[in-house]
Amino acid sequence: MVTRSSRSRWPGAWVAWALGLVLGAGLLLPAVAAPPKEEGKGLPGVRDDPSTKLPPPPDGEESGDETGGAGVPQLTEQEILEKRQRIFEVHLHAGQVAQRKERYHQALSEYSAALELQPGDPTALLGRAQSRKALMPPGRCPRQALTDLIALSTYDPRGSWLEQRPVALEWMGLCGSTHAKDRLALAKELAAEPPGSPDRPEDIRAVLAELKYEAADRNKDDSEREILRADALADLERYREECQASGRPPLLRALQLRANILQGNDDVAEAIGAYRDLLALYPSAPEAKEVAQRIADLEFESSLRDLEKTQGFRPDPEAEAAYDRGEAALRAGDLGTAERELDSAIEQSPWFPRAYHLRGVVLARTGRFLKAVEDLKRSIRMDRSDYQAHMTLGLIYKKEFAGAEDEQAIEHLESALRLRPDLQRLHLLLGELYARTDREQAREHYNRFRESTDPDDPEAQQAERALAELEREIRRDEPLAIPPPPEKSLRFLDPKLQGLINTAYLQGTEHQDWQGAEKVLLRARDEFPDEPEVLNQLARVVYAQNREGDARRYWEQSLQEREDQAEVHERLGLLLRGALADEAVPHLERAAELRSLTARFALAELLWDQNQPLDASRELDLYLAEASDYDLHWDRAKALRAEIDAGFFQFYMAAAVVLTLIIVVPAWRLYRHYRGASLAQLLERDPKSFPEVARILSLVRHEILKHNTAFLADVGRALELDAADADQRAAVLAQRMFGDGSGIDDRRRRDTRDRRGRLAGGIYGRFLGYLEELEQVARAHRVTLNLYRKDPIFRPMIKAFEELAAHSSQLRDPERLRSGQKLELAKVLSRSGNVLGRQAFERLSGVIRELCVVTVDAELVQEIYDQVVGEEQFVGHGLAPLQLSGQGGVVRIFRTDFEDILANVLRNSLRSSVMYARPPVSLGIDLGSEMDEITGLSSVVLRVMDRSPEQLSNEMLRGRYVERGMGITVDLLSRYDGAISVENISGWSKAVVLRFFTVEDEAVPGVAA
Amino acid sequence: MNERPIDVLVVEDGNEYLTNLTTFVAEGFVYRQAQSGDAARQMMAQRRPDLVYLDMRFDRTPEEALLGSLVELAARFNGDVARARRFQQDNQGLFVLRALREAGYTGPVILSYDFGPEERRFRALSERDPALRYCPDYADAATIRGAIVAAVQAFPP
Repeated sequence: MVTRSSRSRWPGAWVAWALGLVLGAGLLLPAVAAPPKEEGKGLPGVRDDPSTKLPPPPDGEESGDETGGAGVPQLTEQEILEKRQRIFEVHLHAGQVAQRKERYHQALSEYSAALELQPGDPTALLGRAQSRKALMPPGRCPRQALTDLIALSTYDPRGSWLEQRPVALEWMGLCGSTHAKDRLALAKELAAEPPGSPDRPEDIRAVLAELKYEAADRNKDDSEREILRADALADLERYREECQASGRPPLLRALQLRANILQGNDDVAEAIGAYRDLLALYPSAPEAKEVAQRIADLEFESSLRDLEKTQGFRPDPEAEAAYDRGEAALRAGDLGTAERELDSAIEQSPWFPRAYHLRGVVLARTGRFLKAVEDLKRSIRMDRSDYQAHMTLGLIYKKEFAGAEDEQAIEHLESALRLRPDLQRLHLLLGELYARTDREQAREHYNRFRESTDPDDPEAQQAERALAELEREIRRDEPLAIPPPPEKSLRFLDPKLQGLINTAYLQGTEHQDWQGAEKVLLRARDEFPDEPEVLNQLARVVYAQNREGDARRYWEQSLQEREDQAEVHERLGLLLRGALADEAVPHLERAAELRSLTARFALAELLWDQNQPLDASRELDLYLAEASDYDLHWDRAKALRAEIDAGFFQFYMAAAVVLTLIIVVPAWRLYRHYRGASLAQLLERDPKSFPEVARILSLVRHEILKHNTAFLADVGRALELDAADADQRAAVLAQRMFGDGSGIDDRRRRDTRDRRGRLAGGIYGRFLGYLEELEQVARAHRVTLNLYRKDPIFRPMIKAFEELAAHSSQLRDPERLRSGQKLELAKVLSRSGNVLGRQAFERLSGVIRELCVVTVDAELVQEIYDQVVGEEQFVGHGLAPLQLSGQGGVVRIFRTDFEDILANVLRNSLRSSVMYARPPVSLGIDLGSEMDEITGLSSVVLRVMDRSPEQLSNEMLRGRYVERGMGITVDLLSRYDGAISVENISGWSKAVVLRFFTVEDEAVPGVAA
Repeated sequence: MNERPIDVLVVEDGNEYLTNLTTFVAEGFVYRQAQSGDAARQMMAQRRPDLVYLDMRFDRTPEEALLGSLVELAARFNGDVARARRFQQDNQGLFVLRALREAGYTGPVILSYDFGPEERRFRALSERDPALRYCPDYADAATIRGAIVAAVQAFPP
């Protein structure tokens, strides 16, 4: 039994002892099972210079004094060998014991010690390999164990190695490609043995096939790759035969590999059979579901191929017509009709990828997403180059499956991107999708989108924001990607040309040899100069190398060969739109005409950028009608629609404002020019404006006409006669009429301008000021005056003033005028004097004369009294008849106001009498007149007499002490310069006296001219 | 026509009458000017004019220089001082006339006011003051000249 302490110091002591042995024995004692020296490399546990000294014994019995230098007994060579053999056996035995007890570390040490003594000993090697493997975690590559095991092929090639080959094969399988070649060789060796051989694994043929298939994947040589796959398939066939012969079922994975290889070989029928075999043997295996789906896919593929053969890849005219009707209905938003027509098209021509695609769109728009997906998948299977279908399907997966189908979305959008690497928005969509699962990929796509987009584009900013949220750096060394040549476009090509294109494609994509690929394609072009597809492929290759100029040249040449290539027009349009927008437009238009949605949207966007909003809007509307929610540009198109609508709205608003201004301003000027009322109309509409109007008219008469205009004709005559002081008179008149030219009216201290914007001072300025006052008065009474246009009195006055104003400078300095000019000025003054002199006076007086005049007589007073006594409050009271006396006169007041005033006074007197006087209650009214001695103004005086003892004084009346409407009465009276007072009168308690200025021959009372 | 120029006292609140008269009705006339009733009485006391040419409205004369009792006038206008003041200004020419007569001036007075539409009023005034004449506002130079000469001839100094 070895103690822990002895074990721990053992290796050092043992090595020292062994070294001593080696030094002592030299090379004279070669090991029995030593490996051949010519192999060069050392074997495990073997040193190239084996010592002649033995290692110390593991047990204490052989240690002690005998291990010392001086104490070591001199042994013979034979004794040394025997001792060494004994020690080896001890270690080997100990290792085996430890291994059995699963003490693998100990076993490893013992086996290693044994191998030091007997390098290459198969038992020790195997034991140590097994111990090492046991110490490895499951699934990890047992590198050292495998080295020990493989060493058996050297030390015991006919013995244990033969048994351990399957084990080695298995262990190598855990090491990936490290032992791929050795494993393949070993598998071949094992498979070559007759089935049923003792050491031959029964499934070795399946393993061999797998290894060959893996080797094919790693091989860069196309032909070798094909050979390896063919070999693998052959091995699988032989494996099936072996299984059949031995009556056991083949492994599931072998069957799956066979089916995959057959499918990869495009042998659809055989692949279906292979999958069916697998399903028959392993119906409940987890893989069965996927296998069933594959069978369905392949069967569908098979049916498509049948259709392709029968239909020749083209739907018949009836189906095309139904498709067109369906497309038109979809564009018009009639989804029901669209679906019916597309059903009909598909029924008519089952091979009709575009119809499936469009029906998928219809189904998606009606919310039947699973069916939509099915249709779109069919469409893609029929035409794998249909990037539109890929995009639609990818977008449906992205938008409608709430993240559950992101992988599918990525797959299809990446397919679309491979087909159309110039559709940069796909990067944005892929960035969004990858952001959920693969930050690095997301960053890369976002970056690519951002680099290809205008920084001001909202989506570029969106990508920028998304990038900011992603933290890790991205990998940028990905090789150039070029889309595979669309299968559809190659189908009709000459097989040789197909081969050349495929070769170029492989050279580019597999070996990144784009120049080589281009050379192949150029060779193809020389051979097939009229074939546009060669040029298209060349364009793709050079475009992938960022040689956009060359790409443009090839695409343009391609269009010269065949003009109706939508995708080529589209790609040219997209290529040119950045720098040569004008040249891009025709291509995009043509592509849109050929039903390219991408081109339609790009055209709308380009036209909008080129400030052609109407054209852009039209194209965008067409796009929105033709596309669906699941088109690549749909979201952007909606945003653009909103942007254009906002632009239009702003434009329309601005246009509306401008148009409104164009219409309204002149209309307003016209309206202002012709609207409004004359003075007479103002007084007619609101007679209560009379006192203010009358006052202003009097001021006009007094200030404007009186001192000034009366002399216009005088000056005119003086100028006409060339009187001596004519110039001086004219200057005085000019100064009076128009001031000093500053426009400052010294009376009103303000600037006044006439209708033509001229500064108007002097009399003219005052006149305009009074006109303004009249307008203000009118506005206060809710009437707009237009004295110039509507008023027959003021219009000639204004015109006369304006004519005078136009000659004001001549009037200021008439001596400078020629005689003709003086005569002309004289005529102007004469005309103006006529208008602004007596004529104006008479007209203004006429206005005043026509205004509110009331004849206050007994009849009117009685009428008012009767109305008052008829009021409810006086019914039933004994009222004596009114005692009326006197004649009254004519006063300037509105009848209604006069009635209100008198009625209030009567009502108060009656009420007071009813309350305080003895019945029967009676009132007396005396109508008289009186004249002011100083001014000569006469007044009509109404004395309302009662017998009420109630006290009333002037102060009470004027202080509005008396309620019952007397406050209003006083206000009304004041408006007409009337007066109210209380007087004592014989025979009555008192008299309330009303005084109104009499109309002095129809002049304005109280206002002097 | 007198051999000496007719001495006319112009009573007005501004200078318009004086300017107009000296400009347009200058020949044969001598003009003096007073801008309030009191000033007119003083000038008349210094030298009796042949004629007083009297403005009716005095709205530029300082209120304290206006003739007439504002208290009495306010009573007539229900205590409304503003209206009373306006009445006082609008009819100041007649207050001045009364003051001149009370001061002993009996000569002709031409009131520059158009009594055409207020004939009854002028009749009432002229019945008490036969030397009172008026000249309408729109009177031109010739009319004014004629009116002055006629008045002076009718009431010689």
